[in-house]
Amino acid sequence: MPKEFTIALAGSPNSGKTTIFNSITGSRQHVGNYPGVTVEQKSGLKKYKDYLINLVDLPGTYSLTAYSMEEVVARDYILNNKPEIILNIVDSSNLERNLYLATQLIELETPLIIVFNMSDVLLKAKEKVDIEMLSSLFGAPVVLTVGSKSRGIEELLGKAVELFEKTQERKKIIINYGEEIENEIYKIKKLLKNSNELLCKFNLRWLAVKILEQDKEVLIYLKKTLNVGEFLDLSNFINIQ
Amino acid sequence: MTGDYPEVLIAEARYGFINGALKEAIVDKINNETSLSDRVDRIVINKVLGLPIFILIMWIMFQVVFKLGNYPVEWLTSGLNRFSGFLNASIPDSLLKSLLLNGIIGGVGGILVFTPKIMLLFIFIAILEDSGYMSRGAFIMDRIMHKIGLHGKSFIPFIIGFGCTIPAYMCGRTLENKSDRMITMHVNTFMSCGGRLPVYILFAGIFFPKNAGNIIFSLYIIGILMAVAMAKLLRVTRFKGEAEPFVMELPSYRLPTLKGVFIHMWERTWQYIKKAGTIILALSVIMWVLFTFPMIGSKYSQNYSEQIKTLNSSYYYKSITADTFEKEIQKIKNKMSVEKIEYSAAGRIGHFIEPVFKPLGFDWRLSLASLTGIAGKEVVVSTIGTLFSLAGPQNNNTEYGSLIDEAYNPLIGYNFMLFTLLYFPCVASLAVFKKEAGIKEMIFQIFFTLSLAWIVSFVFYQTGRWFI
Repeated sequence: MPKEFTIALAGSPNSGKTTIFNSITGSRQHVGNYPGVTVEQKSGLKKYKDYLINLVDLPGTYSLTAYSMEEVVARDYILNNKPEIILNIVDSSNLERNLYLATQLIELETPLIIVFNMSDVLLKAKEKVDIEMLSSLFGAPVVLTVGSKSRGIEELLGKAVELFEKTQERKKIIINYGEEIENEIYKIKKLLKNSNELLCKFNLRWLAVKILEQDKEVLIYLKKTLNVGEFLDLSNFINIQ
Repeated sequence: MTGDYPEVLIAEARYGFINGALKEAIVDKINNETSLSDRVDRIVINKVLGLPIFILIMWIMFQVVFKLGNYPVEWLTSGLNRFSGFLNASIPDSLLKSLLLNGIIGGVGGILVFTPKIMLLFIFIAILEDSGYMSRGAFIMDRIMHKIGLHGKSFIPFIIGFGCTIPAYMCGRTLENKSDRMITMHVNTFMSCGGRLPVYILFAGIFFPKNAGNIIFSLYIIGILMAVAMAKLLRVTRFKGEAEPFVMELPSYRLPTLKGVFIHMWERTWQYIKKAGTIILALSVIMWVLFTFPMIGSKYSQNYSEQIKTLNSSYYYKSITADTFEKEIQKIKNKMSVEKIEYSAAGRIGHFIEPVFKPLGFDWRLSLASLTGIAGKEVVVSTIGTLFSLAGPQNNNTEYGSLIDEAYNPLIGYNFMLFTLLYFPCVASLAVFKKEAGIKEMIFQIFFTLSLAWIVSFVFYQTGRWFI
């Protein structure tokens, strides 16, 4: 029996996500809808060594906030289905903007691989690109690919299997938001500490950041989950800001 | 909050994280077209120029803070002098008057007059933070910090430590690795906090009036170097392991807003004022009680009242001039005051612990001040204020600088600042230390910093004595 696991592909709309998806799955694709919404879900299967990989292409997003349907769908999928691996496909010619999503995936503590797609352009433009250093700084393996030429795909699958086999040894990265925000995060975490259900389901730091961002979906969810007193404390707290 | 929405700050921090990581790992080709921020960074975080620029900016900061801050401090001091002179003349002598003048005004007032300088320093720090330069400072330090087994991330608590050590300890939370966190917290103590600044201002102003700014700057630098050295020491002894690379956030530069700078400055300044009005007020009253009781009564070592009588009669019969008479009377009164304090509880405590501090060149008064500094470094200033204003001429309660100048020399003055710099900041900081790191580490912190302070001051004083 081959071992099965799921890889979700996340990334901005023009990162070459679909090209990577196609070059991994080939023709074994299935197109459907995400439950309840009209956002298209593409999935596919790939046999790699002793593994059967279920590939899911998430909607293209720059961020994981609740501004658009795509972002909500991508986030809910990651939170609810908990895919074993997430590939964040990044357009190497526009790293600053594209890596924004990565910072949020890091915060979610998902098992992440960052894929620098169209890396030929990057390598040509820069004097030196220290991949080891980048991997270490982001706390996630960084893999260089050129989707259009199917370059780097083997290495990518290799890294995915490696990460799948030893998920617990990941390095924890914390993005420091500066004194003010950090103080607020600390206070919110203290407020939420007693709610057991949240503790199991979410990373509290991530939740605190989302609350500070006034994320609509998260606030609605909290209103349902917390008891009235707790939610009032929390909403009072946010209103003070 | 400073008027910025949390979402904006969060997004900025994320981009800062990305920018920092990319700057660390990717080297641009020269002659690439880049943004203004990148071009500034090319110079400011340059491998060769970065550190000198950072040190230069810090140096300018202390020069301006000290020179410019002198004026308002002088105005406040003379205002306070006039005020206590007025009180002195209008209230009849009593215990209550002594409490008001020597205890409260000498203690709390002596600290409050430094507020303008503290404000200026905090304005500078706020501008450097809000503009994004502080992150560059941490980025530059990252390379150096790696050599001592820490990373630049530890430098952020260090910078916060220039304001107050307590939030700096809490900021240590951003360090995931326990060894890194412990080392950072233990050496954070050596960052000169806002409470130590009044001690520096007082002593540097008295003993090095010409280059007080440089002297204070030197103490900040010694603190940083000591932190570096001790971090290395702790890394190879108590907390073994390697520091892993971390992203040093590099947010884009931006023009600090007036409102933002003001709010940041005021938050910290207010903390300082609040502390003076609460904890230090209470401690000043306690100190005054210790300084006043038990009262000496008639148990002086010499019969001073007889001496005064003799002087009075010689003056009456014109055998001495009015000038000599005044001087002699003042001399006797000073002797009496000193005996009064030495007889009091505080004086006895001071004398009791004096042998420990003698090798550092401290007499019983400085020993006592160091002891009270455990409550908070500002208290050192108020203790000295009380000590010397009680001993000084009664009508001039806050101008005790010349008395201190007479009592010690620059070597002792500098050594006292050095000692003040090196032992743990205050009781409140220890409480936070315990909360963040546990009681064992807190006890280690106490003994570690006290013994280090003693050893360094001992070596400094004993070496210095050869040269003067």
